[in-house]
Amino acid sequence: MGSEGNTVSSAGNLPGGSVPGAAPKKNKKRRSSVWILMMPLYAFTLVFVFFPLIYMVYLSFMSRAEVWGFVNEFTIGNYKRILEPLYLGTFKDSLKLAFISTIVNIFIGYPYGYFMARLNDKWKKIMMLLVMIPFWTSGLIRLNGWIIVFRSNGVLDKLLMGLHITDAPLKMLYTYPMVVFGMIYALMPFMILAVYSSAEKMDWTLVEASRDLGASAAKTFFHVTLPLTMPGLLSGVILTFIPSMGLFFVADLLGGNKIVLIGNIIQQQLTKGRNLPFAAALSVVLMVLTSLLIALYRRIAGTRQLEGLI
Amino acid sequence: MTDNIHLSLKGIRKSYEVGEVLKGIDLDIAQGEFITLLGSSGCGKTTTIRIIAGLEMPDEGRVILDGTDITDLTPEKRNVNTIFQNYALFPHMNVADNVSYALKIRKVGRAERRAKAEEMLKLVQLDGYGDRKVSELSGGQKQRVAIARALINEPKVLLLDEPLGALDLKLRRQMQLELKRMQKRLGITFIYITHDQEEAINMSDRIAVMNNGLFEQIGTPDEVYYRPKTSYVANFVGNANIIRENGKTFAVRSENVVILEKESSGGVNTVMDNDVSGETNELSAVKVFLENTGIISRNAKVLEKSFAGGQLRIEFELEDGQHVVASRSGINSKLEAGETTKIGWSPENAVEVIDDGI
Amino acid sequence: MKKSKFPAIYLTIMTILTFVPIVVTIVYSFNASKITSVWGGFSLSWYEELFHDRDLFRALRNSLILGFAACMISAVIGTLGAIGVKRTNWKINDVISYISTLPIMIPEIILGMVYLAVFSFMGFKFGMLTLIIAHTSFCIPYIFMMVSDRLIGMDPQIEEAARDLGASPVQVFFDITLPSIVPAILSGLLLSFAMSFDDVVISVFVTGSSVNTLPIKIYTRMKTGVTPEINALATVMILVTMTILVLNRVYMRKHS
Repeated sequence: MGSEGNTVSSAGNLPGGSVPGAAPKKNKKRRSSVWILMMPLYAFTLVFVFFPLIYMVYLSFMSRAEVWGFVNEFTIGNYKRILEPLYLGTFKDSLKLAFISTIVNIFIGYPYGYFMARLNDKWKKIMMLLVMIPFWTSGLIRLNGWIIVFRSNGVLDKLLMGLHITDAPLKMLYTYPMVVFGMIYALMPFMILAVYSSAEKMDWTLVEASRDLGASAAKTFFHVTLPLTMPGLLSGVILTFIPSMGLFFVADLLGGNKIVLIGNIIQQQLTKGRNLPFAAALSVVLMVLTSLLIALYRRIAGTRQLEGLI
Repeated sequence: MTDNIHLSLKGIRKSYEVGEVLKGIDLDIAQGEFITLLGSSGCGKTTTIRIIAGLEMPDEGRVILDGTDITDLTPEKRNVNTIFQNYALFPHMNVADNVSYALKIRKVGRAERRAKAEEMLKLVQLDGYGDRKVSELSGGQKQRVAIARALINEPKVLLLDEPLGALDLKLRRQMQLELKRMQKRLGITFIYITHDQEEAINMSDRIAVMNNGLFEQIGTPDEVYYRPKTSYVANFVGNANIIRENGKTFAVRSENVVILEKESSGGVNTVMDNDVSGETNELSAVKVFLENTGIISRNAKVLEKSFAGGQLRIEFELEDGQHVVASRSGINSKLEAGETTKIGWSPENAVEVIDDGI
Repeated sequence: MKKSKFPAIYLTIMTILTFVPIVVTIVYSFNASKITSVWGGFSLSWYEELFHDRDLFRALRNSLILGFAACMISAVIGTLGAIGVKRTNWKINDVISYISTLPIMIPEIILGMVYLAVFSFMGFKFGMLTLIIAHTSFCIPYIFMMVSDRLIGMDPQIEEAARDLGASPVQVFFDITLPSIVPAILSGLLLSFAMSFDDVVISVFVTGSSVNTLPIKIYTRMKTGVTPEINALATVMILVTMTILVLNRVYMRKHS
């Protein structure tokens, strides 16, 4: 074996083809056509998501037409109209309902997801299945079940009257608390799964370490567990708060016609009122509210994806 | 060697967003050679073999294999195979399917594939493991599967990217020997990456020491160890002291640093071996010794003593502030931190090197 | 530390509560009485009526076609998109990824409203086509996100190893990449099908007068008062859901 060992030298004499002394020529980059794979996603997203949302904003500044559709006349009237007490009140009501159902969901769903994450593997899987079955069963069908339970002279009334706890039907259906209950029930799995996904990833030795260092169970919870599961909790808040403003059918079926949410107004504007631009303006405001929430989440949680969404 | 060039890198340059990773490197490798690219992480060694494998395109420069320019060939068209750092076994295939994947690509029949896979598994002493799941294997076994899989194609060159990095010390030693034996038997050119100088010295025919995207020195283990060309090589390969004196830079390996005073007998240092530091005529004996050996004595303060790798290391500070480490066998010395003594080294043990600031 | 019984009790009670409407629905589907509040003895008559309800079957068929089409299109667009986004480092990828997931982030009602307006503007005929497009928009994110997640968890060296062993990019895709992401695609398909099959809010706006999906049909009937036939239908749907979930669990166990 030769021992001369070539050390650093200039790249001057390339074999065959290159002119001695010429500057070394740059190699062409290997071209890749992977980007083609993204094109369907790009096309679909631009045409059927981005454009429609822009169109919605555009529409919200147009004037309504006599029968259906809109006239190309710029106006901010639609937004002014939202400030009318009737609509502003609806926004307030919707936010209030979303707020209440989210808070209740935190108090019920957080312990659920948290306890679930502490189970052993076998029970985790079983509980997962038990959470998923209602979650994947049509929301309508589950509401249908609650209607049977809560309707006047329904299962609950029969039960309570049979036990002589009450002596007349409670008439719970078509009340505000019923709508709140329906929202909570419909959206609870989102909270559970979000918290679970976060708590599952948590390093439990940290809790033990905290207890070991002398912190009480409560202190440990607020100083260790809660901060570590915060991304899941926040994600759960987003995932319950946002839909609860728009699920018009819950208010529709459980609240009769008495409870009106933004979702219901948008729906009514489209079906009965036939006022497309106004519905668009309402949607834009709702969209802005939603985006602010998501942006806030990202800022606080520091991640892009919502925990437990998939 | 020159008439036997197998693989050649010519003026390879490569930049990423973070900066230039390879700054124009040249390397000629002979058929059947075991060459090691040695350097710390980020020196460009992985990029170099990724370019040879075809997984990266160099910005400039050519890769020549057996006289053919393969720079523009995609990885699947090169008769070069790689053993990846974390094995990169296909998790959804069993061991035999992993090993024979290259044959499946070449549309070899199922039975023949299976037979060949068994043969390769035998070579790496895993016969009978064909139906195992990859997840059932230990680290060392995964390593062997990766070797079998890379060798089944009978590549001209095998690239090994720190293949033993994830194994424990004992297993690593064993695999070093096995790999070396296998390479001799198969006669395949091995290009091996490591940051472990002992591993490089143990296994290689030649070592190419890399630093900052350039080769500092390419040579046999003996050359890079005993005759380092640069201060970086001296320090990285030989753990040598870099001493700057009279505008020159010297490398002195720690076992060649001699302690001339206040050291008990029994050490390995030359002075002690000759027992010149005896109680009575210490000074005159040292004087004679110094004259005979040409050692220049310097005042040094003991900074720290530590025991590592079966050796006692004593760190000194010279009067001009340079630090010098001496090492010897045994676990303790009479010298205590803060004491002053005299140290030195013979001129033939001080190799003049190019100073690259390390 | 002493183990408290509270978590187990809490989980049990809450889980039972969530199943109340499901159990009630199933029980009442066998109720002979036409009035839901009265128990008139065991009967299969509502199932008989259900299986003779042409209208519902047409709606079911529509829902199946819709769910299947939307899921398949989403699977292709979402999977390819996720792979492309992972392999290219275009700065705009982030923006497109974000916009593409908006349909499952914003309240459904907005999406319904928007599609109603846009499809009128584009001159599409409301019906199956508009339903499929709308459903595809909210199915893509599930598949895209699940596949992206899987791809991020994949060791890039595995694909390189296959290239190194002689596989072309296309072979690598079919031999290595696809098998690794199939579970993610299947999970995404399952989830998006469930979402599509359950959707009322968006469908109500983009369906034409001629095409009804099952949820729309159920919704309109529920608005006019709960009929026992719906209970029978609900029971069938619950059973199908449970079967799919259990099968999925079994499949996942086999492939993990």
